[in-house]
Amino acid sequence: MTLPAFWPPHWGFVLASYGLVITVLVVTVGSSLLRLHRATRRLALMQRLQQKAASRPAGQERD
Amino acid sequence: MLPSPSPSGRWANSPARFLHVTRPIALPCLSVGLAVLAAGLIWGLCFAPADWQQGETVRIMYLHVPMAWLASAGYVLLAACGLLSLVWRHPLAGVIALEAGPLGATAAALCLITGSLWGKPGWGTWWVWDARLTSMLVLFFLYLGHILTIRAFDDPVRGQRAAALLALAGVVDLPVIKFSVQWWNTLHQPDSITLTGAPTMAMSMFWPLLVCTAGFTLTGTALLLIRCRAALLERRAQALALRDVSP
Repeated sequence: MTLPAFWPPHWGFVLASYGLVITVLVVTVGSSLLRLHRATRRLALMQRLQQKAASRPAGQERD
Repeated sequence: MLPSPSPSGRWANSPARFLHVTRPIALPCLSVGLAVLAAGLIWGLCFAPADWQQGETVRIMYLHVPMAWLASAGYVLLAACGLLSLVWRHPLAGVIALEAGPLGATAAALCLITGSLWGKPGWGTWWVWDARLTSMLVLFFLYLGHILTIRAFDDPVRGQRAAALLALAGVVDLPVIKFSVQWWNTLHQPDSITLTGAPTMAMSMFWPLLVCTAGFTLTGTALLLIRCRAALLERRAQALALRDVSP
């Protein structure tokens, strides 16, 4: 069977699709993990500050 | 009878339970999803056979079909969250809807772009106002509308309710997408995979497609869990910060 002449391989379209999807995937995964990491760190910091404030002797003024 | 949304009820404790339950799940799910996805994409790009008629461009199918599936499934989730939010005022539904919107919109956009890249060599045009393509474009706009609506109000609860109504109204587009190739004479090909019948494509193409779909689904689920966790942790940190500055 002969491949029709009007169907060239078109690898450019294939690679453009894969490149686009993989780039978007990398950006989405990276940004989501970074956001989770920052949120975890921020919450840990806030909890430490809360504990420090709670352990302060009664009557001592906050800075 | 609907459960009451009392602050002390178990429904109100869902965010804490969600954080507890998803902690050991999210990152392993992402790792497995990315591994399955990598295997599926390599299989589809390098080892799956070319189509006798479409040639190498058929490899775009391994991206286009999972993206269409994710966009549609994501919208079902959005509508379910809308229902939970409106009827039961579930505290997690708003968070999930807030985070699922951008992911679904990305999937819908990638579905449209990869479809366009597949259509140019196949049909000789980037775009045609075909029923399937147009209904998919409507889904993308519904996602954009949801993303904007849920963030448009100063009161987040009002934003969630308005976006939930939009999500529920937009569900009507899903059967149109699914059955558009049967209801109208479209340029888009009919479904190759159905729940009731055997796939009409060769099994050497079906298996990599299934692996890619599983990989994208796992990765998408993991990303949603990660983003919901991040959103809930940000809210907790913000609440602690506000408590700290209040007199």
